[in-house]
This record gives sequence, C-alpha cells and structure tokens, in this order.
Amino acid sequence: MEAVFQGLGLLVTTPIVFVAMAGVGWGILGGALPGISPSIAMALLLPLTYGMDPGLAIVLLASTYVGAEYGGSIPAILINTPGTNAAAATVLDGYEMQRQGRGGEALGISLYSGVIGAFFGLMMLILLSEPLAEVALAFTPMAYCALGVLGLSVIVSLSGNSLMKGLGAAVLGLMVATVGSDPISGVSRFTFGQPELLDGIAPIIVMVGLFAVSELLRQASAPVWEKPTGTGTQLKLPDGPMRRRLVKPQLLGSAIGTVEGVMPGAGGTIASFMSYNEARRWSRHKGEFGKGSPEGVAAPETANNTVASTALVPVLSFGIPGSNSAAILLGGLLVHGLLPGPRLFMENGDVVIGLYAGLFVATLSLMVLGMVILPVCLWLVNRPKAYLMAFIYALIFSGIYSIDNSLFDLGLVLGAGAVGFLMRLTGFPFLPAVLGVVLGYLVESNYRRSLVLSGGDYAIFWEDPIAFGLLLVATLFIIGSLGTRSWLGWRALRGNTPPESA
Amino acid sequence: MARDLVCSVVLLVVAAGYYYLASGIASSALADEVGAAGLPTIYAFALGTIGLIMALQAVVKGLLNRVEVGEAVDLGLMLRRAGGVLGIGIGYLLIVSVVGYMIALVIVLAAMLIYFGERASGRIALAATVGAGLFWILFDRLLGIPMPGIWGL
Repeated sequence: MEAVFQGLGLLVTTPIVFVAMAGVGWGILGGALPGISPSIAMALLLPLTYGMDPGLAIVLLASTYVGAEYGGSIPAILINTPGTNAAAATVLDGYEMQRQGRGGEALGISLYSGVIGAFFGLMMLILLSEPLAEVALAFTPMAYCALGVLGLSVIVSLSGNSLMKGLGAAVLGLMVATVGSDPISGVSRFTFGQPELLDGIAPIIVMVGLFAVSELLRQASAPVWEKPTGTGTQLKLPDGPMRRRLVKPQLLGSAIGTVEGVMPGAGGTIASFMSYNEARRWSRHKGEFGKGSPEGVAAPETANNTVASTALVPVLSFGIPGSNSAAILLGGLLVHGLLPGPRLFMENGDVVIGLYAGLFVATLSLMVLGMVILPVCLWLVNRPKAYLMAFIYALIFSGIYSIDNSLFDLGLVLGAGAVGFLMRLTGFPFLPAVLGVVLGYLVESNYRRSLVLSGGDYAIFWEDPIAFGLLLVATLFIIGSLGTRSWLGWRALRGNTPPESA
Repeated sequence: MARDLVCSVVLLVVAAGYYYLASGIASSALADEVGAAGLPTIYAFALGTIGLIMALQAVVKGLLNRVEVGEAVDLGLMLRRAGGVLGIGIGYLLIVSVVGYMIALVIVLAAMLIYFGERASGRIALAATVGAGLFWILFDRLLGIPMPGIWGL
C-alpha cells in the first residue's frame, strides 16, 4: 500500500504523466510506420534521455515500447501492413473487417483489447515479477526449441483449405529463415556473395512484401478496381454484448502473453499467433475466423500488448534483454547507472515504482491517444483509391529503407510482394510462411545448441521437463487440428457443412 | 488440376535448387554434429515430399474429374496490371540513388496516381510533391533517418 501511495505521489509531483504520454504518442507513430520497429522508435529517443532524470528516462523508453506494440495494429487493420512483427496475426481478421467496411469496429476492438492486455501485463509485472522471473530462468535451449515447435504447430490450423499448401508455405518460410550466417559455426548460407544477406532477411520485410505489396498488386490486377469499402466508417468501441464475446479471447491472449512475455527471445509474435489459434479453437464462431472475426482481432492484440509489459520482467529482474527493445531499455538503465537485478528493487525502489506509475499512465494514454489518432487514420484510408495506393507504396519504400538504410531491402520487399501475389493466385496461405520465417531461426539455433550440450543425444529433449511438456502440447495440438480437419472434411463431403469451415 | 500441378512442379524445382545450394555450404571446423547444411537438407526433402504429394493429389483429382470450376479470369491481364505496379517499384529502385529520395518519390507517387486512373494534371503534380515532402519531413527530419541522396546530393 505504501508503494501505491508513493506511485501516486510521483504522478503528482513529477512530470511522469507528460513523459509517459509523449512516449506513447511517439511509440504509436513508430509502430504504425512499417520498418520503424519498437526498438528503432526507442533507439531514436535514447540520446534525448541522457540529460533526463533516470526515472523519467526509463518511463519515456518503456512508454514508447508500449505505444509501439499497440501502433503496429493500425496499419495491419487499415492497409494490410503489419507495423510490427507481432501485429502480423492481427492482419488476418482486422484487414478483412476493414474490407467489409468495418475498419472502425476493428480499430475499436484492437484499442480496447490492447488496453486490456497492457493493464493485465502491468498487473502481472507488479504482482508476479518474482515467480515469472523464475519461469524465465528455467528456460533452456531445449525449451526454446520446443517453444518454437509449439509455435509452428499452429500451422496445421492456419493452412486454410489445403493442408499441403499450408505446409509448403511453412517450409518455404523456414527456408528463408536459413539465409545468412549459420547460428553455430558462422558459415554463410544462401547469401550469393551479398553482404546484405549475412544478417539474414528481417521478418518484417517478408511480411510487408507478402501482405502489403501483394495487396497492392491484387488491387491493381482486379478486373474492376474496387472502391474503398470503409467510407463513412467511424471508430467504434465494443458495446456490451461485444465486450462479453471478447472476454474469452482476451483471457487467452492475456494468459499466453504473460507466459511468452517473460521468456527472453519469445516475444509478442509467437504470443499473438498462438492466441489467435487458441481463440479460434475455443470460439463458438469458428467459421468467422479469417473472414472478419472480432475475436480474431481481440486475441492477438491482447497478447502482444500484454507482452509489452511482461517482457520487462527478465530485464528488471536479471538484466536479460529478450528482444532489441528490451536491450535498449537495458541500455537506458545502464546509462543512468541503474543495475538491473534484485538490487534495483532494493536500492532504486523509487525508479521501479516510478516505472510502474509511468506504465499505468501510458496504458491510460493508449486509450486517450487512440481515440484521437484513430479517426484521423480512418479518414486517411478512406481517401480515393488511387491516392491510397500511391501513398501506401511510398510509405513502404520509406519505411523499409529505414530498417538498414538499404536499397537491397527494397528489392527484397518487391520480390516478396511478387511471391505473395503468386501465392494469392494459387491459394497458398501467408501465415504459415510468416511463422516459418519468424520461428525458423529460434528453432534451428536452439535445436542445435541442445544437441551440442548433449553431445548429439536427442534424449535431452524429453529429459528437460519444460521442453517435454511443450513438445507434448505441440503434438496434441497437431493431432487435434488434424482430427478436426478430417472431421470437418468428412462432414463437408456428406454435404452437412461448407468445406471452407475446415 | 492444372494450377495445382504447376504449383507442385514449382515446389519440386525450388526444393531441388535449394538442396543443390545446401549441399554446397562450406563446412567449418566450428561446426556441430548437425552442421550448417543439416536442417536446410531436411527442409529441401520436406518441400520435395510436399510437392510430390500435391502432384499426386492433382492427378487423382483430375482422374476423378473433381476439377474445381473457378471464376473465369483473364490471367494475362491480371499479371500485366500487377506487373505495372512492380515496374513502378523497380523504377524507383533504379532512379533513387541518381535523383535522390524526394524526386524519386514524387515520380513514384505521380506514376501510381496515374496508373490507378487519375488523369495527369497539375493536381497530381501538387499531390505528389506535397506527399513526398511530408514523407521526407517525417522520415528524414523527424525520425532522423538519412534517406538516399536528397536532391541528388
């Protein structure tokens, strides 16, 4: 209780409120621009924090992270372009709702669920830091490999009408993830002598190509050019019945986001995909998923916003940065002479409490700033189609260039767009490919590290209890999904139900 | 059937090409038991297997006459239209390091507007110039990302 009063006191006596709001606003802008990842948005602010009070500096960086994780959903819903990796799962139903003229509703659900997720994550950060930190420490390379396999297991249910096409797309994604330096020996693979490929292909390049560029190509190739369907749509927060419907996906998203967030390296992308998949599995409206389901927006958005808070657990408790964004936050702490770990809580308790207070304000600010920014975004995407297409293309060129200041990346994004367009024409689903690209490195590097540790003995995977548990869950997911597909396919053959629901 | 058969052939070709490249990955004294080529080789075989299964499925569907009748589309026209947008993008890549970000972006914006049916006019020139200026302010000035050769310098 004393800490609560101390936090409230900090809100009144310091400019934390303004700093948190500024951080969230900057973060939303960064997250909404494809290519400007949360870490870049934070890195751009880092020099500004040198002269600031340490507590305020950390609040500014953490609020930027919270804002950026939310901001990624805005272009995902409005223009089929995930602003961040974690927003890729939101594209599926969010953009479909926008195409149906329900973009305002999708944005409202995303904002509402994002705020719920951010609040839940903050509560977990404050109340359960210690036990969650233990979870983070218990993760071995075997467990990370198993976590990646668990993430890949959702491919079966994301494969649409053709399991083979889904699996094919996933393997293609895994192949893309092998480009670059080998994670163990450092040997270059599939780089064709191009130094730009040594670091691999950033998942955001593949996502923007597959989703955004291929959508531009689809729009251009449509026999009759479609008119914008969202004209007149307004930001719409969920009403009572809708809020009740969203409770289940939000609970799933919060729970998965909490666990995934504390694992260094796991991040919001796995959490959002798994939440999407689980929301569909437990939904009464399974058939709506992929066709504009509100639950399909709520689950991933709750998850990735929960991760934004719980990802701070390993940073604050052990100084382990699980992502680029967390590394920059760690840098911010170190620049101000704050050493993460148990001593941070004992010796700089005011900074930690200030951070919690700042994150609380940042979460409230998400709602306020969202209500201000989103109507403007909706207005922008309802401009005449030619203007919208032209400006999206310019945004892609500017955003992707800003990742590494590389024109080579622009060539890659155009290539990915062309492949995505062909995948659309031939009915290959995108999400398995995206999962393959995102999880390929995690799975391969930890699989091989595990075997190095065991001297090549595969028993190490079932001797590690967490790895064994995750692999068991992944196996059950795959069997369950295959069983459901077979059952629905059989029913479709008998004419009881439309085949697309399989 | 034909579409899926073509897809399966493409997958088989990709798998074969990838396997060929994977088998050429240099070995290293630091390599582990699996090696740098270990998983890529597995992926190549997996993709090849998927390609074969898809080919079989397509052939069986054809034999059973379960050909899916889709909407009649002019594929050539679709590809040409999509190719136009890709062409504008490739054009940007070719000119941006010569004329700089601002001018290249003005050209891309104007080209896209005209390509999507707006009539060439002063209004388009104004929109493209203002748009490019806004992007430059946002990325180069506000976010501090040095865009390629502003004004060709």
